[in-house]
Amino acid sequence: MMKDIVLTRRRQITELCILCICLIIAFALNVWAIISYDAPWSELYSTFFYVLIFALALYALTVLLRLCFYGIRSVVRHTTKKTSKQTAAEAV
Amino acid sequence: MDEKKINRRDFLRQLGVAGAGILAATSPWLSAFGELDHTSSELCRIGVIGPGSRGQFLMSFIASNPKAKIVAMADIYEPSLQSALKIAPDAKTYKDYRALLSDKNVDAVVVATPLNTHYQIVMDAFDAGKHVYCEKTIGYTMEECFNMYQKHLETGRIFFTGQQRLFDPRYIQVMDLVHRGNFGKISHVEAYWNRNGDWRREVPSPELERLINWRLYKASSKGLMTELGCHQIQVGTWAMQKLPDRVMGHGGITFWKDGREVHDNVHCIYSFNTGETLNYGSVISNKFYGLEEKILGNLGTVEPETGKYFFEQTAPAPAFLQMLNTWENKLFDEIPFAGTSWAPESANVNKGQYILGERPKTDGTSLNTDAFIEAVITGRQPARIAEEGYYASLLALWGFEAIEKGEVLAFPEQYKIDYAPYGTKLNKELLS
Repeated sequence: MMKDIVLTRRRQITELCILCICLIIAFALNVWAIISYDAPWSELYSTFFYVLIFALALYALTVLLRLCFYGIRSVVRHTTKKTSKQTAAEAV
Repeated sequence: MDEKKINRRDFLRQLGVAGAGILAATSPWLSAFGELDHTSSELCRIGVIGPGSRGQFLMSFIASNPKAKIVAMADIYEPSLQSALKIAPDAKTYKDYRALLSDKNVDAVVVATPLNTHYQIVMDAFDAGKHVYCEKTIGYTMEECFNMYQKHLETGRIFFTGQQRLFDPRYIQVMDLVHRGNFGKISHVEAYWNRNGDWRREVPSPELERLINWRLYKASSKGLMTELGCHQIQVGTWAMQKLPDRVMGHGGITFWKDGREVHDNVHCIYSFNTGETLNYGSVISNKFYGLEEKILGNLGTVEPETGKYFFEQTAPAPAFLQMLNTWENKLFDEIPFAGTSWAPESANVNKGQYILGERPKTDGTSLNTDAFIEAVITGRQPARIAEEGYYASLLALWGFEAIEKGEVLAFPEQYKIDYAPYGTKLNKELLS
């Protein structure tokens, strides 16, 4: 039976925080690029669209990585649990 | 040719001006569209001499102008007359243009006959007191062009030529930018018009070959120089604002060896004492590059036909994109299997800017005919329009002569006219 995916308030806040961190990183990179390439400071807002896309891409990357991480961890835990049960049953 | 008629208001709006005054210095012939005279209730009665292919094209615009009426047509080729009657069914038809010229109901004539017949028709038209719109090239020889221009001055009749780029919004805007110095010093104009076709028209019977395909034979045409080059050489001098001092050229029949006498491959170099050059070339066995007049200045390049300009110094790509590009280059350069980075070295490509924001719907022909009609009604010859047309024809014929002789020819001083924009003086001796 399909389970409902519940986005708890805690999960929502966590994701928003991660997105904000991605935006801050992207913005910081824009500042660094402006300084490095001697560009006008007006690019802080004129390239906002590119920065936003980059931040979203970065966020998507974190989602992918976390999915992989938790997925692998879930498989490992499930395997470990199964092995423990078998060992306990054999001991009995 | 697929051209939509553009009305005067749209024309001026495309130029971004409320009136023609702003462009008076660059294109003073726009005064033909001045609103000083109320001409809405006037009518210009036009006779068309040579209502063939081009003639009917012009007629389509004249017929849609409420201030003009095509009252007569003359042609020695009956099928042309019959076809033209579909545009102007009420027009009187003549076999002999002289009969049309003696028609008191005709105020002005449009001459769209083969090149070798322009001279006599136009001279007779001026003598008959008619105003004249003559398709380019106006004369078969430089001397004919000169005589026609002098006759225009003597009679005081309106004289327009088929140099429609003078009324093309793109060209007007381009010349305004060029003359203001936006593109710096113009050192070179590269003009070319390439097609891939034999330039032939269908001939119902062999004896009509030289009549219908008159463009292919030297007795009636000077070929690509007079039929195409005339337009683009005029663009060059319009941009440079001076006349070249020398010309050399080459021509040949390299592909269409079908009995024609005119070249299918021509190239001329017009050079100036101050070092600039104006190149003109036309090949009709390859259409890849089409046509263009590339105006090259030290600050930028203009391509009026494409409708774009390009500045030499372009703004770099945003720093953020440059940074990503650098990372990407470094990343893929390290990985052998990835090969050359797919991203271009330069993060920015000069795509240029559109001159008018969109491709205009006209090449200027409709506005040229409108301006002619206005000039006939008001009796006022717009400034420089005849002179630009005269020199366009002269330079094309001069280039043809250089090709034929295989020599570097100096500008024929006896054909210089009093035209201040090109810094020339009137040869008073010739007129006395």
